[in-house]
Amino acid sequence: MLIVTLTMLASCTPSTTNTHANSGAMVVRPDRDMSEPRTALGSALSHGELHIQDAWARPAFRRDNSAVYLTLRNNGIQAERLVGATTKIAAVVEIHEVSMQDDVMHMRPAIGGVVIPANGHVDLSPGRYHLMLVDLNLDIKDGSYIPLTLHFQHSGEFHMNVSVVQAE
Amino acid sequence: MNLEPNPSLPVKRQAAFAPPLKSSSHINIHGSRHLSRRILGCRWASHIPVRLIPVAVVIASILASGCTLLATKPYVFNGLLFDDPVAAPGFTLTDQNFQQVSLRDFHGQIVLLFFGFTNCPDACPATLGTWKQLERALGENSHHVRFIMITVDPERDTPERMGKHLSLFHPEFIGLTGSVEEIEDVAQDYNVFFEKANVGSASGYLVNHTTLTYVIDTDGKLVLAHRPYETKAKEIADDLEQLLK
Repeated sequence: MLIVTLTMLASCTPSTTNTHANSGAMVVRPDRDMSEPRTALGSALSHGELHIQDAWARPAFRRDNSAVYLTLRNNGIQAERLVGATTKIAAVVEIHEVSMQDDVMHMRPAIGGVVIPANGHVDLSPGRYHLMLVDLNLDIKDGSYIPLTLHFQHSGEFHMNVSVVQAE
Repeated sequence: MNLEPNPSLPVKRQAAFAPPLKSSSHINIHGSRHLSRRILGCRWASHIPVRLIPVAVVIASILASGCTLLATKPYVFNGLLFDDPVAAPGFTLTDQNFQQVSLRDFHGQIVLLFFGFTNCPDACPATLGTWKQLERALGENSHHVRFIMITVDPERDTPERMGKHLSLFHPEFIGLTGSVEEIEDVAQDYNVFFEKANVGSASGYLVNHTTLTYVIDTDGKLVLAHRPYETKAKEIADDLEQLLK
């Protein structure tokens, strides 16, 4: 009886399957002169009181569009505003705001840009905001970097390279 | 969530189903046939004669730090459950290889279905990226799952465009397009709202659209829906593995 019970106790433990998605290592292969500061996920760049963190872009083909995401942190006492962005690898960069209503996604240009509150931050992340790169003039591939210039209302231009990453 | 049939869509057809529940319900997937099993809650306990249960319980409580008597805890789905699963509406559309593809071609497999467009920079690549991770997370079970994207932008999304776009994610993802009328019909059948939006973007018109991913089980029933951004690939994999049991 004891043996039977012990055997059954052993069987009671539910089996767990370990199905962790392989997140994949991000391969960094710079393919141009790296004179501008770079960011990769998990790192930050500084521009005065601003910190630009975790910038990444979606892979895409030439003539198509891509999206850039990043977190903007403002350690200053004055609110800042991201008013635009430019890049030589796309015709236009637009700041878009995304909203969900009843599971319907609406996307529109963010009029006036994006405010980064004093002592605060704003996430340009999926489902919220993104920088849409319109009409790429080349393929951008996972593991590469693309140049981007952010335009701020008070602190002017900031040049950076953004890593292109496949997965979320 | 209250996804009402959209009043601005021309009422040629009614959606075939009511929207899914707001939060997932419990489904007791282990029917309790044996009294012993019900009392003790362990799968193998049905072999214990009922009269010896008190003895077993005493021994179990002394020894069982590792035995989780939760072995038959009902599974809680991460997605949104459909209250009354109906047969998923059929369709026949054109894939990226210009082949005619019908939903019934996949009977016996789980089908993940979402509606998007290739010029979409946010929700659609987010869904496809999650699917890519999901396909890996499923491992061997991925053979039982088909991933289908239907465009809500048939004017721009040709079969070639669909193929090229999906190639960024996985060679076996299926991209379907068709005539404007065919797409409107299937979208209405699935209660999917979409509209062109001219917002002055240099990319041309955008398309506002329903972003749910639908899950059709191996019997062809529409059982679950997932929201982008809300459910991780692993959570969807758990749901699908549950359906495959």
